[in-house]
Amino acid sequence: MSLLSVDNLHVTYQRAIVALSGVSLSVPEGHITAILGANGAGKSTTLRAISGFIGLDNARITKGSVRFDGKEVAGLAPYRITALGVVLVPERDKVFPNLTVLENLDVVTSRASPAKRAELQATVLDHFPRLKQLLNREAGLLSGGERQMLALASAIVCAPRLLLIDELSLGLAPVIVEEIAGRLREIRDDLNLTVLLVEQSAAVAFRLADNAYVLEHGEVALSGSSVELQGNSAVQGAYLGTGAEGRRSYRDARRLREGGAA
Amino acid sequence: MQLIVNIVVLTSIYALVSCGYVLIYRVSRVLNLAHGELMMVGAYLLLVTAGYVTNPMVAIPLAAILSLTMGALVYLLLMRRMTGESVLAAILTTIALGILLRGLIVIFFSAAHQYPSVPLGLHSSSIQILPGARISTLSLVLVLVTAAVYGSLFAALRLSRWGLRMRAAGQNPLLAAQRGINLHFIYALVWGIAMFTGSVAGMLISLDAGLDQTLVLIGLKAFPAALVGGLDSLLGALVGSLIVAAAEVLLIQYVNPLLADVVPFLILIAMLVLRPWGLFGTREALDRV
Amino acid sequence: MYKRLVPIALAVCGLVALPIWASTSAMDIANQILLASIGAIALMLLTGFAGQISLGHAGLLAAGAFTAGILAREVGAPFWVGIPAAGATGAMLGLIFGLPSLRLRGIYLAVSTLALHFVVIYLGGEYETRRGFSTGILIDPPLVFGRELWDPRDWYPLLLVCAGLTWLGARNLLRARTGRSWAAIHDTEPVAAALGIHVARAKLTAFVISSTITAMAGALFAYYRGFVSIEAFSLFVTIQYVAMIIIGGMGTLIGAVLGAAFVTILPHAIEWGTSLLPTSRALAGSIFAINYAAFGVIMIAFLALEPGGLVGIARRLRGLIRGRG
Repeated sequence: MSLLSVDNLHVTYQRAIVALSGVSLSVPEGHITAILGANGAGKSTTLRAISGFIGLDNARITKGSVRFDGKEVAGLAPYRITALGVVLVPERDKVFPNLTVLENLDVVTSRASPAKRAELQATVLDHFPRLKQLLNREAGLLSGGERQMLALASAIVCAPRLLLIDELSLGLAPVIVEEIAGRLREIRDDLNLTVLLVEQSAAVAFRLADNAYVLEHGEVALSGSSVELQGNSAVQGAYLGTGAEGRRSYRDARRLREGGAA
Repeated sequence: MQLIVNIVVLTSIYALVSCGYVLIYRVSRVLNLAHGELMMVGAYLLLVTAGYVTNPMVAIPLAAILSLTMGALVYLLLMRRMTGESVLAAILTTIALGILLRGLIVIFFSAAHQYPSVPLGLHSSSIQILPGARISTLSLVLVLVTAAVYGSLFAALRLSRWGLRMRAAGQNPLLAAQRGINLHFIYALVWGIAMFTGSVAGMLISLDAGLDQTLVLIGLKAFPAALVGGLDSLLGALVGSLIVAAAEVLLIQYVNPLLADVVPFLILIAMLVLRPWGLFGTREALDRV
Repeated sequence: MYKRLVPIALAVCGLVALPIWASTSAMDIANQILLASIGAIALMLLTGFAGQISLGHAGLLAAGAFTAGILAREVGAPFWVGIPAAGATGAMLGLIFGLPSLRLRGIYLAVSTLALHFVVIYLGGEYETRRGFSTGILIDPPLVFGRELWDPRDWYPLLLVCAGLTWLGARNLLRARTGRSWAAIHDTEPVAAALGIHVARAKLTAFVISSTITAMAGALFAYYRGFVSIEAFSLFVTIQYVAMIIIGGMGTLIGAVLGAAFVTILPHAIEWGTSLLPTSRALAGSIFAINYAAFGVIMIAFLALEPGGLVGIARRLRGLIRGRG
């Protein structure tokens, strides 16, 4: 059952730059789906278009549709989309720096009832024990990894039906990313969360996600389950640094390579 | 001794007025240069309610509630359109609003000096609270009200749910919206509260000294107090008010009475040169709207 | 090429021929518009083109007016000395007003210029009280080419020339390197700095040039009125000039002139308008307040609805007529 389906989405920046030219994807409920691609391929743009926070970059959806739970949401005001249960963890500025960790969790508005929300908050803190130790620390003083954990935690307290994550691993040490990815999968299993994740690191994406889409130049180049894609030699060559013939055969990978992955 | 009492009273006046600047700036990142005029409107609202209800215990709260509503309306009808516009446009909108209000007040109330205390039957008398120090009853009320207001604001911002949301909205409005916080409601609320506190200050001052357009000047002079303390810090507003009030009173006493109106701005300039974000303010990029 | 010249030639002819058929009071208004244009162009250069917010305009006008007045009164200096001297004062003050812009931006810059305005006004007031000019300084009408300028009709050619020179000077400045460095620092300072533009110098140049022109405009005002008083230079005057550049259209020279004309004519239009109303007798007392209120409303309207100003409106109309979107 597809919770989110994006159909032939076109997004243009400042009426001149075409960022997405016909992206279609679908996010099955209860699964983690990843969007991969090089810088500038259009990953973040897709996420922003889905969440409605696109007008800020002077961008517009020019064609196509975004259906969440069967309802058309393209062009709706961001707070409306949030109210429907689509919660975004942004790439930057993801916490309230002068509020404590606990305040960061308390301040969000949740779709769940107060009792359920308290339960969610407790659950999320169980999954991120480090946050439990830092409840009275100001969020601005947290390390990068701790901040990402807090950002995820506060988004989950909102009781989202679809969690959008923009760049989970950016700027974080691999060890931390491992930990967070592991926790995220546990939370997904625990709460039956649906996640759409934008990730630059293919390794992280494949570890975490069930399915993935590879974007380049604003289009979907490849899609499939993680297992399938990991086995795809083009993907291997371009993103995983391994290939059937080492790095010799560039022909298949060339299209993927042009995005500037290497 | 009398000097200390005078400083305390003037500090209270500036503090009660300047918390309006701080609240709006901290939560919605807008510099409201119409605060002085809104304060004056609140005082004139008392004149209106006093015309209908002579019991001060009813007239004053009624006028205060009207001010709260009006403040929220100013946001909802006008300032909401200016979100996202440039710094200059937002400031100029508030200045233009102030000009409009000044004109309307004179049209409806004339420029004559008014005395809201008369219909309410309130008289200010001078009491001796300490050896060598006298204070008028209304000034004493003002000091107490300022303390109460600040106490409530500190508590509300730290402890209440909406206070927490206000602080969050002030730090990262985008994230706040993404986490389901209704920004329009928050901004309307804070504009309402700011106008409420300013109006209470205006009312108390006008009950003591009468009411006319010069009330706006007090609003203008309180602004340096807010900036010296840090435009997004309530504690800063308190401290800044103390500094400006002390400087003013002492300079009038020992140097030159005519300096009264320019001293706050000299302090402002000094602060901008040394430390633009004030004593307790957040160091910022200096150009956010 | 010719298409452009014809309307310009007509406009110039109209301007030059104005004194022939216009009444004295109309000439007075025309003169006020010319004077306001000079100040407006100066502010447009600073805020509209170089992007430096300044709320100290009235202070600079006052400085120029007082320089001319003080020199005329204390030393008997003639017109030809008073105006350049005012310019020099303006340049010095411009440097002072501009220094905060090197460290501050946005509201802090606006506030610093505001504070400086109040300091200048205070100093002017101090001078008046100390020298016993509590009602203002009187200045004799200037001697230009041996002719005393009394009547608005006498002033008109001089002011037309001054305004014209200001316009041409501004236009050439904008096309030269200075103007281009201003355009660069307007929105994207870090980029400008990276491109090797000396940001501090560009900013200070903008302040100094703008203030020099403004002070000279202030001095001209003083001579025109024959009178200098600190009360004529309130914060409201600053706001009027800022309104001029916004109503006219930020970032255009013609906008400065259009805005100056609009704001100058507005009070007269309101007076005429209220005289038509049946309750005109009752309103007469609050005509000043009505001006204030109307001014506030119009400014808000332009800020909220048409930030491009009159120029913006004209462009859109032209687009509509030509059938574009």
